[in-house]
Amino acid sequence: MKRFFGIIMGVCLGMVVVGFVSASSSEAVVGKTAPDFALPDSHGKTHRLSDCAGKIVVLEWLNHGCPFVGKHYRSGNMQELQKTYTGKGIIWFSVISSAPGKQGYCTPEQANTITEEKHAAPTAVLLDPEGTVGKLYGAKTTPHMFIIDKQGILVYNGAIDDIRSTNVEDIPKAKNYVRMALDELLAGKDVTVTTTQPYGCSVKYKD
Amino acid sequence: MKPFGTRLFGLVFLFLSLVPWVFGQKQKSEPPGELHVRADLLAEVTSIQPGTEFSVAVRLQMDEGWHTYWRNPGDSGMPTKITWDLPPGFVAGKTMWPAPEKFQTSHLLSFGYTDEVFLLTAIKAPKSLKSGDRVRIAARVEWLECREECLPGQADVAVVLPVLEVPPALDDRWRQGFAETRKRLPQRRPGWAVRALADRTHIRIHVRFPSGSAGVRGSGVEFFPHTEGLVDLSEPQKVIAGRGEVTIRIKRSEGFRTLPPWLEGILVFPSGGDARESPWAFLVDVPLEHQVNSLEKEVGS
Repeated sequence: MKRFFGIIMGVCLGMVVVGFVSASSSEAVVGKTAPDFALPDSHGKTHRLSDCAGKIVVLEWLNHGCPFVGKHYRSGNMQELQKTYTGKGIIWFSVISSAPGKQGYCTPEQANTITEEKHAAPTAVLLDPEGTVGKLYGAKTTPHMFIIDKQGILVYNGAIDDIRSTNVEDIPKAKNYVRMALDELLAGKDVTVTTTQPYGCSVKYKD
Repeated sequence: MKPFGTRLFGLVFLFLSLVPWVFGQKQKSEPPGELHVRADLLAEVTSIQPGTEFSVAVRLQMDEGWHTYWRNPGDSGMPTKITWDLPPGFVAGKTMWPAPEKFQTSHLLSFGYTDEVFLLTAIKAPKSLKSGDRVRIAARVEWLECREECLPGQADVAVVLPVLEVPPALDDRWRQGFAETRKRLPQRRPGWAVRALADRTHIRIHVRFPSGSAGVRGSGVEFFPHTEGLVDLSEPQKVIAGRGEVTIRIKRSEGFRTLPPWLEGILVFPSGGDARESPWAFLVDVPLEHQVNSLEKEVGS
């Protein structure tokens, strides 16, 4: 009987601990399997992370009204990364988690127009107006970058680079964590910098 | 009950009328837009005495609802940046930041200012100045202003002062502003002992203050780190207040792996400062002691 209570207590304690962890952080943990999701893109096609097995996936949180995002698009930095790495077989999803009425929110048509205007080249722009996937991954800012390896493991969570500014002139001076991680992965190496503090505008989730 | 056709027409009309508005917003996203913060440069004194130090303030005046950021903006945002343009021989000190306000959104915590803030800087004048000279102190100020949305702002500001051999008078227009700001600047307190320790997951700050520290209450104290990204702001800080001492336990940020050798920041006490019942800031500037067990794990990770 004592043993039975011990087990019950253990289970309860475990539940408390799990509850605490998931309340304080997201389900996306570096070194663990990245949580699966399904989102429509701006052309209406649904993408599932699980369909990308065997490929490296980049998730880029996007809000074109945000000056930090503006820095990386005005300079062409983000487009260059997208072109370079999709050219190497990497899947690149730009995810918009802005709610309707909030900065950065796009209808599918608006997303397509702005993608064209900016000459952006992600694999797809995914629309997450409910913020479900943003919150699943704990996306805090725009930009906020995640990288998932071929085995589906989250291997990077953080900033795009190490200079937290809106100034285009900082880009050549910055250490680009995404480029570093992708080059390491493509070379069959482990990612050295796996977690950094993202910087930018807050993601404009629905209230 | 309106006929369905009218309703549909109304809806289509509403939708079409929104299209240019939504696209218009997109166009506006590129800077420079209309700014909601004004910057200027104020001198505390009405003249400069050769070889002495005086204070100036970059004043940011923010429209209602808008804010700018502290030296550590928190989870989002960017600190205001001041780049000085001074005549030869003049030296500017570091920016002195008054204790910030907190901005909490659903998932992020940021630090900054609303309404009006003076960012103070001490300027040292060279001895070689001559009475009758006029000196132009100038700076470029860059900031990020946010309400729900954020815009980058920039202004070139300047103030011109005459050189006089006599000690300068204070400019009455800004006297109160400078005085109020100084009350909010982080203070050092002689006789206070501070230690900071870090293990793998947390930082603990222990403060012991002398028994004569009138009105100081440890409960309700809060730590604001100077270093961006060092601590996990989503996790409430734990305060253990005893008699004449207080310990604050703060969760480290997972995104900040390499601990700095030094901990800098401010502790905001709810009372016990110059204006006894007002919050005041205590400057933390101590070595960050790494606990051995965690160091081993750091090496292993």
